[in-house]
Amino acid sequence: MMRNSILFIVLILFFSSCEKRNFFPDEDDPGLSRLTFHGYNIATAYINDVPYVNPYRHSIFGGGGNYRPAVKRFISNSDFDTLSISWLIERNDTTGLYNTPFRNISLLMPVSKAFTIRDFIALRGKRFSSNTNVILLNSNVSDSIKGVSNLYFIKITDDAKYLTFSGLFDGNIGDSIKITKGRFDFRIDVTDVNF
Amino acid sequence: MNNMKNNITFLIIVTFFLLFSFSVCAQSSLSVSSGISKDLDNPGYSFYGIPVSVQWKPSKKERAAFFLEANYDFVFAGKSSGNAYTLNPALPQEVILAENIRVSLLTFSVGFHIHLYTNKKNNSFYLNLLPVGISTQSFKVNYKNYDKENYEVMNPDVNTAATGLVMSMAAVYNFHKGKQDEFLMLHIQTPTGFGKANDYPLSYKSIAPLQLTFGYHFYYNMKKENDEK
Repeated sequence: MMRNSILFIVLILFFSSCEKRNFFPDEDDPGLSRLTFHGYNIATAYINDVPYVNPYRHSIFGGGGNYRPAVKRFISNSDFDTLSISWLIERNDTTGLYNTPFRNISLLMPVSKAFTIRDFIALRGKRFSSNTNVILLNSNVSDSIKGVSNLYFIKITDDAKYLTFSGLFDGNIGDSIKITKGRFDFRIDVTDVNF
Repeated sequence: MNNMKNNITFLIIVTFFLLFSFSVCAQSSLSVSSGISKDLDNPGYSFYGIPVSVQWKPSKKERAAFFLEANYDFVFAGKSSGNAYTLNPALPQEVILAENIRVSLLTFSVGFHIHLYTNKKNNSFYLNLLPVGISTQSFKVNYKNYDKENYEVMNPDVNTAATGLVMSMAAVYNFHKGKQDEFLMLHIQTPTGFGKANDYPLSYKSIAPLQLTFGYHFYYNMKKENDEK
């Protein structure tokens, strides 16, 4: 009886907070998810024509779901601070013979020192060209590599609890790395941002 | 999946049972009708169509006579729109694309008549109740002038096909003409639903057609009926 109760509780914990993968394949762009605005916490892009996606976090005691982005404002000594949207990535195909070369992607843009969540919401519908933004890639074997990016916040909404935002991005890091067809659909807790 | 197999097996058994039970009936008919249809399940779309319905009724019993029905609906494309976005600074950042949704709908049902009224001219009014049917619906989505290289549609609709159980009902007025009666039918069918397999939200739902059709009953096996009389 006791054993059954413990098993029941473990199963409840295991299944209680599991979220769906919410990867809906884009038929026109193999390996990428569709551009959505549902707070699916899914982000995909090609890096040198290889599809990448944010990984799914498996947890024994619940809480499984897509890895969410870190959305932070970094204070700098210059006239502007930096808004950073950063998330883990992994290859979204199984055909490669080598391990994932990149494990993190970051979109950086300059923001004012007084940047707040209201200012973030005001980015809705704004498209930023590559002369203002930076894109960073981290890999397992080397330091961050830096390039330029285009970034478009298509939709942003907030309620009392969540900040939901969707958009497009691409970028170049030198001549050797091209990030194309990037799209994200994130929903994060408003308490997880530091502005 | 198992549920679906069970449902189909059940439907096949019922169909064979009905076929067997009618083989001894006196008079049979084949009915063909066509007209117009309108979907009632998608208020945002105007899914109109031209239905073609074929009914095979092994018996001409007026009361509780069973029949099989095949119904195909040639649905006109539904119109909608989708918003597409681009990062390319040389292009407008947002465009609105016309969206066409083509639908095809095929339903097989088993049902029976409930006779309600017959006048002096032998014209009659009855209900067709079709408690079991299997319907397959397919939706094909197309965005007009979609530049897939540069633009991405937000929350795009996608092609879908669904098969499921449905129920339907029709009110029929029969004009008695002898060997070839005419009838007017108002027919309504439940939607199939897309089931749990499709978690992706679409702007459209499965079709629930309301059909107004006019058609003919073609009677045969009359000799056999007379023999039985």
